[in-house]
Amino acid sequence: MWYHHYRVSSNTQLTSNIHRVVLESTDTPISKAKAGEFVMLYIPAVGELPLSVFKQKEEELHFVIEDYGGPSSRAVNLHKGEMVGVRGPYGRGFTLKQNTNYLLLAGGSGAPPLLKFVEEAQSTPGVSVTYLLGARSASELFLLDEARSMGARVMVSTDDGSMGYKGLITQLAEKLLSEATYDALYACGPEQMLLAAMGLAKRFGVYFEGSFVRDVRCAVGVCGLCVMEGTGRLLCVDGPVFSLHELEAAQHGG
Amino acid sequence: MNISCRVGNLILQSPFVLASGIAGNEYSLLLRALRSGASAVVTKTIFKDERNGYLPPIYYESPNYSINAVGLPGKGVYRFLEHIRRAKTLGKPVIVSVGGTSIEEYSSVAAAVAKSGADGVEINLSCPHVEGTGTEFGSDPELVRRVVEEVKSAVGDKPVFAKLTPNTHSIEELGLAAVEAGADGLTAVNTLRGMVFDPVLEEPVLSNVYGGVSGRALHPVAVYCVYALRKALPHTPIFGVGGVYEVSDALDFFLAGADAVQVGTSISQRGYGVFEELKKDLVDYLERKGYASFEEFVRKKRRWF
Ligand SMILES: Cc1cc2nc3c(=O)[nH]c(=O)nc-3n(C[C@H](O)[C@H](O)[C@H](O)COP(=O)(O)OP(=O)(O)OC[C@H]3O[C@@H](n4cnc5c(N)ncnc54)[C@H](O)[C@@H]3O)c2cc1C
Ligand SMILES: Cc1cc2nc3c(=O)[nH]c(=O)nc-3n(C[C@H](O)[C@H](O)[C@H](O)COP(=O)(O)O)c2cc1C
Ligand code: FES
Repeated sequence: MWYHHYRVSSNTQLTSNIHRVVLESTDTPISKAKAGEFVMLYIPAVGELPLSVFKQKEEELHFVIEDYGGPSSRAVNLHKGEMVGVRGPYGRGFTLKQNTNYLLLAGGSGAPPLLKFVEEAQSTPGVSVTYLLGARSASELFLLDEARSMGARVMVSTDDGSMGYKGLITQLAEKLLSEATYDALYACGPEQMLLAAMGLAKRFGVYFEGSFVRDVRCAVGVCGLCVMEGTGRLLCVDGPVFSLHELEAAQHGG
Repeated sequence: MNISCRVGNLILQSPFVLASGIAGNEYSLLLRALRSGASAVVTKTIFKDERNGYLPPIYYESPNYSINAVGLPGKGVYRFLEHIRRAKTLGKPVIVSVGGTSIEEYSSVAAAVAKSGADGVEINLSCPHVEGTGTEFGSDPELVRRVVEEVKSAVGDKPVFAKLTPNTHSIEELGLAAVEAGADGLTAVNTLRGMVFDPVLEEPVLSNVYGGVSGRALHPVAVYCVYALRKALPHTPIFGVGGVYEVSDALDFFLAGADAVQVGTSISQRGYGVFEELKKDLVDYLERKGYASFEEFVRKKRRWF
């Protein structure tokens, strides 16, 4: 089955431009997604866009969607009762191991896959999670209680210092990495943030995985538009989560 | 078991080649296909200027067919030349698919890619519109003849393949026109025009509304096209394309007269591993049947010709 059909059951505004949209299956729901895996959401007359699965119950699918001005503007305005198509889940998500101390960096709408990771980590023995959310100011932070209630240590950074650490999320991460030991650093957010986080991981010798964004159109590895340039890897099937090793090994022609 | 073959003056280690438009827009992806066992690659169709293509949804799949309308996105020929050079580093043939919305565009793109080391040029003759004509370009034998002539004279001694459309009443006529105009070989076929709706959403499944059907449903149509071309043109090199998933699908093409096949849609389900599986299964088949080589199998006289 290509499109699984869902009806919008709620749409809650979280910040000025980020919404939580909940869908309810009207036929067979998509199979279970792991944190970091994504789906294609088809909004009739608008188009498709890739979205990370934020929460998934038997019949329900939750997304956290940011308005970037294109089709996502329509997605944040979906209203109760509207019908949509969903295909997926696609790709490969974050790896979760026992007895690991994780540092998670979420920038804006990069939060959903990492919040899902926090949820999965809850029931994994020996895992502790520090979840960082970065934004320009306090009004743009969201779902912090959700992360806390799932057992994560939660810290925030804001550019203007209106809440938490004043500065970039990667600066906060640098401070934490020099104060304590983490086994793995996982990140999702704008490319610049991902690259900075990757640099930190290298410097501190910490295992890294990041969820990237490219031009996803087919989502099944045929159109080639989501290529991670120069790596031979397709974001839609080999990603969207890549480890430092995968991105570096490939740079040298792998 | 030797499964190498010749398609015109191209020497291929196996008869399994990556089809145009299947993750063929970047050198590292072309190298991945070659490292995964493709004996040659055909690139995404390249135009003179940058094209955005269509917005998603651009692709839809059912168990029996795929349909796509990607809209031929690309960065334009000059930014692609470096990718050709880099894709050639493994020493396997890199065939560049060229497109155009005018005859001049086809020939200038072909000239540029030939100069940058393309081992062959495949002319994508299934663009929907061209200068001054409302009809589909590739289904008019006269236009096919003019494009092939111009491209052939632009690329010097590089082999030129004309990729034909099945959206025609007579593919032989198109093939004959291409060969008379100097094409060194033919690729059959591109996708069959089609349309699919989602009945729950009451919406087309492609942003472009209609698109091209590939995969399993295209397969018997494509096999017939190869047969019709082989009958009309006993000595012309032919690539068969359409719905190659298993080695039995490839055998259909060889029995219908193809020299080699290109693999497209099946990669979405089977991944790049499909090339090694096809090679292994072809070797097993030939051994079981007692052939000494792939060449011996394809050259066997068939009563349906
Ligand atoms: C695997 C994957 C998972 C994703 N998960 C989510 C998710 O859970 N929630 C979510 O909100 N989004 C997610 N996205 C991004 C989302 O799919 C849209 O592509 C993105 O929001 C762009 O929206 P648009 O199509 O409306 O904008 P477009 O029409 O593509 O662009 C509108 C404008 O926004 C700019 N723009 C586009 N993308 C970005 C970006 N990422 N950052 C900054 N500016 C941008 C463009 O340059 C343009 O100026 C994901 C993307 C991928 C590939
Ligand atoms: C997503 C997609 C993109 C394609 N893009 C091109 C293209 O750029 N140029 C071209 O000549 N053919 C293109 N084709 C057609 C294929 O090369 C091939 O002729 C057709 O799909 C039939 O083979 P298949 O059934 O193995 O896919 C494309 C096909 C698909 C599915
Ligand atoms: S989106 Fe088409 S190959 Fe990844």
